[in-house]
Amino acid sequence: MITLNKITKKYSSGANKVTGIENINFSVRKNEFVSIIGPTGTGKSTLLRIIAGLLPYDSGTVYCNKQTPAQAVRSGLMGFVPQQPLLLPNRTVRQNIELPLEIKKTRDNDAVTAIIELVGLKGFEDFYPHQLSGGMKQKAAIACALVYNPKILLMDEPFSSLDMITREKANYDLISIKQKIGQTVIFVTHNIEEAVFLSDRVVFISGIPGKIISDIPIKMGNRRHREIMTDESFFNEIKKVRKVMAMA
Amino acid sequence: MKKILAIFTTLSVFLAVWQMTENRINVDRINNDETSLEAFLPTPSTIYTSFKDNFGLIISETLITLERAFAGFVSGFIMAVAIVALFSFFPILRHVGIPISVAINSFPIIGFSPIIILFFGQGTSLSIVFISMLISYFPILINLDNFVRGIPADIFNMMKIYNSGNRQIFLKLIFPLSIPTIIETAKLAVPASIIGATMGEWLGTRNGIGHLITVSLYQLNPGVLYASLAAIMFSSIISIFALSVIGKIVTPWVIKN
Repeated sequence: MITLNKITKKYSSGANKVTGIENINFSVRKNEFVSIIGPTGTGKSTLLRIIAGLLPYDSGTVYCNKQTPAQAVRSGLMGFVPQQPLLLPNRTVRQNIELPLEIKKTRDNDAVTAIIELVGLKGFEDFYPHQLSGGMKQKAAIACALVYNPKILLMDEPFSSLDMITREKANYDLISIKQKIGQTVIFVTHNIEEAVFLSDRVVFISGIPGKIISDIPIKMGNRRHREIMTDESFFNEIKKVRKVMAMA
Repeated sequence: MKKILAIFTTLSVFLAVWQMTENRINVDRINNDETSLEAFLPTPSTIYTSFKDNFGLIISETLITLERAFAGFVSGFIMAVAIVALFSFFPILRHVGIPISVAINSFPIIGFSPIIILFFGQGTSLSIVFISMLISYFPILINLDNFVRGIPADIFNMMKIYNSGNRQIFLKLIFPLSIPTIIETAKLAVPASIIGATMGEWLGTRNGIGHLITVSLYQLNPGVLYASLAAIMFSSIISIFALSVIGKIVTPWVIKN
């Protein structure tokens, strides 16, 4: 579904060029949920933005469903949820969710209503963003990214600004949405528990320039529910990730 | 309601103090065989009487000026929005457009007015509209441009992910988000355009409130002069109030502290 081959990205800093990420190789299968974790400044968001076609890269190749990122964006393959929920303040929740469809000239009231129900914002359709809580805003941002049914969902630390309780609830909701819709998801986070709970694989990036240190499979199958968070197997998976991080 | 009452009370106190102080000064000056202040600073009651006696004339001349100022403001507004749209479609134009606009704004437009009037022809409204437009477009352009440059890059990225073109970015993102800035800037630009039109009329027309001010000055009629100025002032206040009401209606999403 997504293949990155020897991706290197350099940033210009005056006359100097600083390498942000170097020789990144990895692929994501269809319907897979992959989390990218790693310290700040190691190029996690850069990588996500390259896949989303928002950043050019210096060398290597990126293919999303056999298309370049730009082609994938044009064909509506890509949904993106940023760190801060980017809702337009002049539009209500419903109007914000309708925006991608308006741009694509494919108005679909049923799809909008369905996605509002799916993310749990029924009853808040006519609220403006400033009238919503942080968690609700993020739900609306996810709905905006899902409403045109993209096959790939890219999420850049979407829950980082939420408190722990709201964040856990957001994780349960995300899993529930993923199970219903079945997108391929790449999820950037700093939170190991969150990464383990949500993902089929956890990719650990570290160093400057950022390189993939380890690609860790998470063996939890479909047991992604509230109870698993206190289960031995969940802690074992977290230990596995922590060990890899400690060795890096 | 409290706000209106506070404004009304302050204004009443100000006018009462002005009236009483000037009456007192005038009594002293007349007793000392000096000219009454009424010759160049009439009391509020004299201004009111002049306004009442010349009500039809002042209102009709004010309406002529407002019509010209409005035409100037609307042209300035359209020009500023069109330029900002061009900047967003072709960002390279900004590097040229902003310095040119700053240069035009730095130019003493009032000093330049006689040439504008000569160019468009003495007595035509077009010259007044043009002066008014030159005065009003700049604040709209600069504020709008600053606002657009302040929109976070991530919002533009989000629009790119939705596969939107420049036209959609302008129509769905930039323009709607700019409306509060446009309204706030219009509160500065509308009075500026009224002042521009009034000043243009001093030089180039035989009607309008600016012309009436000039005539009343030559006729040593300070009552009409001040009543005309008051009419202009109230027109500006009413236009600002109207813009606030429009702002509340068209931007219900704006949070006011």
